[in-house]
Amino acid sequence: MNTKKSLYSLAVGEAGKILGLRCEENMRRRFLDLGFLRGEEVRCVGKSPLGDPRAYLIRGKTVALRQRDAEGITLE
Amino acid sequence: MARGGKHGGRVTKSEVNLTLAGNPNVGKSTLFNTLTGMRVHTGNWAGKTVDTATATVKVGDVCYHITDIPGTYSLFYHSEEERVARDCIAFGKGDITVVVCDATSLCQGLNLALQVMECGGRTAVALNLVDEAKKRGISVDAIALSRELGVAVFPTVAHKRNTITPLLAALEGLKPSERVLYYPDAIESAVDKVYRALLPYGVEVARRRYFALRLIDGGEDMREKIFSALGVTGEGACQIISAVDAAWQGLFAAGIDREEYERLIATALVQRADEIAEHTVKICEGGRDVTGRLDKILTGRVSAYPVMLLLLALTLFITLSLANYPSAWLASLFAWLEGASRTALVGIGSPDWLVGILIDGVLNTLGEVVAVMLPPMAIFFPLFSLLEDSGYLPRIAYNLDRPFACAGACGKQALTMCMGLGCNAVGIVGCRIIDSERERRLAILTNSLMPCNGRLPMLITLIGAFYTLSGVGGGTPLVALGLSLFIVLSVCLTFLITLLLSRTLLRGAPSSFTLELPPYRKPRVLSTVYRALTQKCASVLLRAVAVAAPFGALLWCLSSITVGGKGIISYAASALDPIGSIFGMDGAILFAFTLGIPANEIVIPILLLIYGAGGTDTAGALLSCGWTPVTALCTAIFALLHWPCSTSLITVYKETHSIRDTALAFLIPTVTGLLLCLLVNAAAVLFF
Repeated sequence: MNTKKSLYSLAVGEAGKILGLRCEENMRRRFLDLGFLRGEEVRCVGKSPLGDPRAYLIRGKTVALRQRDAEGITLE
Repeated sequence: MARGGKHGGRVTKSEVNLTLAGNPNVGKSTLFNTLTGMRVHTGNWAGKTVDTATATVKVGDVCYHITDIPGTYSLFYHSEEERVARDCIAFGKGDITVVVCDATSLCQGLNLALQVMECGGRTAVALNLVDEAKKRGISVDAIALSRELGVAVFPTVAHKRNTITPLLAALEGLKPSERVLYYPDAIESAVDKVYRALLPYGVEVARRRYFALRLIDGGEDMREKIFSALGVTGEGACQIISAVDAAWQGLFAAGIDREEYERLIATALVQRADEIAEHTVKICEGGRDVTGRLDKILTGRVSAYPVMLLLLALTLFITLSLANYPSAWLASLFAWLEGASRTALVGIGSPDWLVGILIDGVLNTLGEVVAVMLPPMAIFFPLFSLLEDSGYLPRIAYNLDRPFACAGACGKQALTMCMGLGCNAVGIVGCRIIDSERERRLAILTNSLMPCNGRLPMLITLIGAFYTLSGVGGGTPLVALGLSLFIVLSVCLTFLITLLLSRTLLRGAPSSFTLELPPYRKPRVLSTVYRALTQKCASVLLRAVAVAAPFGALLWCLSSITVGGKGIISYAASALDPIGSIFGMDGAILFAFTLGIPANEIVIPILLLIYGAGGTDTAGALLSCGWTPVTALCTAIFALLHWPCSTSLITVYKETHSIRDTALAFLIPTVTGLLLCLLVNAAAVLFF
């Protein structure tokens, strides 16, 4: 289970396909609204100056997520 | 077609409640302003409405009560904003909801539009920013969109009234939205079970379906809301609850648990929105490039912080160097006005006390406040709005999130601090953009550490006085540098105190953080400057004037009513002298800050009045009152860090409903300021 690749493992410029969400309820709904759905392509497009949070391009929008939250999104 | 009966035909009511909904940052508030004739203060800084604003507009013989609700992505209730929005649309008395969508990124807007339509009211879509979309090579077919959604769609450019007229004209004929969203069979049959249980209660078809959906996935509070909206009690409630249980039985049997249910609903919404967008939007690629390249500099590892500091210093420098001239003009204008009206009043034989109250009290204080405060504000607010309009502000939160997370807080606190630079009360309300309750309180309690626009001019005066007294000389660049240092100090203190609070009174781990980084756009200079001046400046200035005028009169009375040859005010000041001297100040200064609680802008005028000094050269006047460089420095520190103004304190109470938090908001900056003053004074006594 814990060997699954998470969103956080993407390097800047890399993309992946979303497999699922492993986080608490409020966060999960937030992710769903933002479009982090199974099968969507998501790309890491940048890091903040201190490395965390990072910016991800999902469905045409750029969303910043912290490491802890990005680790809750698993990739195929 | 509409089956709701009473909504079948044209609206004949003369009063209609209209709600404006939309994603954050799609120009919803601008549309609201244009609709209402720009008469309404939209209330805050980040370009975000965090509270509802209302106004009434008459079109023909119909009176529209328009409510502008917070910008949200969904109605699923993660944050305070979404709760307010959902309550307004699904449970409010709104007749019509206009969903404002951003034509440059339609999917996200359509997702919300579909959710709003699902709530069952009459809905229209304002396809906003069509001009911006065209510039980026995006075209949206409004007619096709209207056909796909089954509601009226109007292309708009929010700040151009003529583009909104068709929307206004069509409002009267709007019909309830039709159902355009279907969920997987298992969910539909579960909804049907609950829907049937709701049949005895009088409500439109679509809204009944919405209630059924939310009874299944909503929590306890959602159920309460729906029951009270439908007037469900006792026996009826039991029947509905057992229908919900039965629905879940069916869902579980189909292998759908709560998490899967939410996922399926969200997926259906997003996919439908995508499908519609695919049929209606044509995109020529390109446009993200500029944002990507700018972000390399503005959020880059090496350049981000220097650029941020540079922008802050530059903003302050422009503000200071440009403000000097209008300040001097205003000061001489008021001096002339004082002279002229004094002659006139004395000429018609007014008694001395009346001349005193009106001229030396009201007009003098008013002049001080307006001349000192208006010019920097009139430059600072528009500059800041331009930064806001360009899309840079969220990058500040992005850059600073890491340090805030280390202090147990949220990066969005940086945005509320920026708002605090304009007005702390606004910054405190703005803290609602922070989702976590604990982190929101951290931001509220520390907001007053940022010097607001009422204190910036005071700081400038005091820093100038410090330079003059210590013989360094002055000059705008030096003052701007000093002011930047003071702001850096308050940022450092904010971090420190946030850290201390999250280790003690507001213990907890940082929660999650999602922040959208919109593409940069060229600020619309003229309309932004106009808006900043007419709304933000005007309201802050009016508040200051409203406080300054009566206070001026009161002060004059206090200083002129004499007992034993001295004014009452001087007794109070000398009584405070021993306390003041511990902190490197004097009694008059402490007393001026105490009287200045209604508005920080009046502290310096009060001080001059107590000293009995006056004239246009404030620093010179202070020099003649026995001030030393230490006095100026300590007073400047205390100006940065003392009790928040009464408006801020009331706002803290309104936002937290807690006396304890209000007291903390009072004590935190006060104690910090006094401690720093004590240290500086002690150091000065020891080493000089």
